[in-house]
Amino acid sequence: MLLLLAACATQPGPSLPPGFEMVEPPEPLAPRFEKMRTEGVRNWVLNLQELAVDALYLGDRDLATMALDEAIVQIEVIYGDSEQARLARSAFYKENSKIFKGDPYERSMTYFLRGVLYMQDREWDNARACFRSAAFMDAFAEDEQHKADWALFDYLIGVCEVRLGDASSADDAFKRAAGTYSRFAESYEALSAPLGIGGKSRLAGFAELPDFTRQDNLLVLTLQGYAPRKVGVGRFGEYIGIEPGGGVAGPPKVRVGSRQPELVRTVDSVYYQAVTRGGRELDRILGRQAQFKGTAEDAGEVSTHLGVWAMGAGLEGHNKDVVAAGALLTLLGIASYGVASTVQPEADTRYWGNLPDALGMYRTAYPAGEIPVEIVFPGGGAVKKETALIQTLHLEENELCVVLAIEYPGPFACLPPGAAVTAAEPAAEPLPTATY
Amino acid sequence: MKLQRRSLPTVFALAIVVLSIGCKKESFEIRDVDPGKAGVVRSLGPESQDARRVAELMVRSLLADPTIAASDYPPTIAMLPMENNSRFPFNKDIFTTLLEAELNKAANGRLRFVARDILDDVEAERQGKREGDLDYDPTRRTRALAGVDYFLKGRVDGQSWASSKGQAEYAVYAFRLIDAESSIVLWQDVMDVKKEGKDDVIYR
Repeated sequence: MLLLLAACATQPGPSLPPGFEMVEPPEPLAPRFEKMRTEGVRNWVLNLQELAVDALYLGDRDLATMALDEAIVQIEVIYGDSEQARLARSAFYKENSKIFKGDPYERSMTYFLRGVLYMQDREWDNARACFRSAAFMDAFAEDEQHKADWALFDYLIGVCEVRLGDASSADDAFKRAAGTYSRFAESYEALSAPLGIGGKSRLAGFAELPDFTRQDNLLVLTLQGYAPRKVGVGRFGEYIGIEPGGGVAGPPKVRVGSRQPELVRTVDSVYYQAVTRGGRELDRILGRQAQFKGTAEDAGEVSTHLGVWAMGAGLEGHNKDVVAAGALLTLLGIASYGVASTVQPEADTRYWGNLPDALGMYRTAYPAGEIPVEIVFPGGGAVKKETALIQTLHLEENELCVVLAIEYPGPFACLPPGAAVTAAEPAAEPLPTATY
Repeated sequence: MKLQRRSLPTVFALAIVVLSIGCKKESFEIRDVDPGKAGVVRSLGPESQDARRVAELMVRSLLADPTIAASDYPPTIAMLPMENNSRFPFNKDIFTTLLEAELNKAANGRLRFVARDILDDVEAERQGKREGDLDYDPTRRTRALAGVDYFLKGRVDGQSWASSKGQAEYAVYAFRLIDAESSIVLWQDVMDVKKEGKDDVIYR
């Protein structure tokens, strides 16, 4: 009967997200597909997010696009008072039994990556929609001061507005980005300096964001360092703690054509966003569950100790009543332990493992032609070695070429279709594996 | 009533049946649903029923407008790509394809669309015919590709809100018929949709 009851609460079986059954994965991604199938709908979003980064790393833009599109569909599903949600709220199920949609920073980064791919396809309005959603996802942060405070998303909305020819909306977006950026530089320094993971000086904190004009024909977006990690904190791991995945020692440099190398501007930090989201409503529920579990465990411990002591004293004094009372107390203690062991207040610490930390941007206008572009990640942070990415790109007049350059585990670049004259050296590092 | 020992297995079996029914999940593999109605799987963004309602409204409104209804000849129209000014990335072609097909069907020859999306194919075909590579009926020859009398252009504008009480999304779908010579807007109609939703506390 118990087995039957347990079966009622089981998750849906292994399956791939819609459309992925038909996909023949590249060989290095076969384990990722198998993991996605085995873990089923509960971890679809997480596996799709990590699959997207892996696919970008392997240069498979189509698969990355498909993964991000499906992740967005799943993120936008509203789970009202569903059975899954009810179970995850219950004291007897771990929070991580719920379907993963990620924290606001993870949802934002999903939209960000999709938006960059739309930019590369010159679908400026859908790119703008993605960056708006990326910013909107952060509106779910509980901390009022840090709601919707990604500077890069507003800046990229402005870039899309410029490309769409709406100068007024572009100005509004750039002003919002500038305001957020000025606050970010100070806050990030205060937050990260004690941890030794960055800081204004190391990030070469420019006073202002650069203007973007319609003549700009190269935009380089850089992703550096490792994703923050979620860990359980509190007596039973009932709260989510954020640990830095590893910082960056300084911003990357970009050399375009015959020009001198220029510093990329670090505009946002994923770690910063993760730690400034504020508490969750669910934390209060898990906190109460942890309190109940703690009280039951403590009561069980006291009761068991007292019971054993009373039984000992009763046997020594040949007092059957005291022995009986001791036995009853011991049983109560064991029962209390039993109740405590069924309560599972652990917070959900699943996280997007192959995200970066620092987000940077560089823009310029350069004469059209086949232009060598070099992007150098300085190393010295989470990624120890300096790494460089050299590529010859087709730059056109008044057409924006958007390059997404990622430090880990590459470096590797995601380029617009047809933009590369020479392909970058294939990355030698193995695919990253997430741990959660 | 006293329970007989031999009836215990029956009670146990009944309990299993009741529990099995009780925990039957409302799951399905794949099923066909009416795209004109909201399904079980909902989103606050554009959905199929929105696309259908927009197409229906625009077809009725445009065909009733004197620009089309009182025209002496079937005007030619180019459907331009829709602009997405909301926070939802979506396949805009769904709206334009649906509207163009419904207009063509309902207009019954009172208007004509040009296929600008296959311009390269048309050019290649014309060139092949004129160079003698492809056979054709010379009486159907035209001097140039068809120009258009009007452009049909759509856009969606969106506004989003979020608070502890949930999320709200407001979308305005608008289509305009624009004179291709003068740029004057000859017809316009809108449909607006507002949706609200609230995720479970575990996702907030």
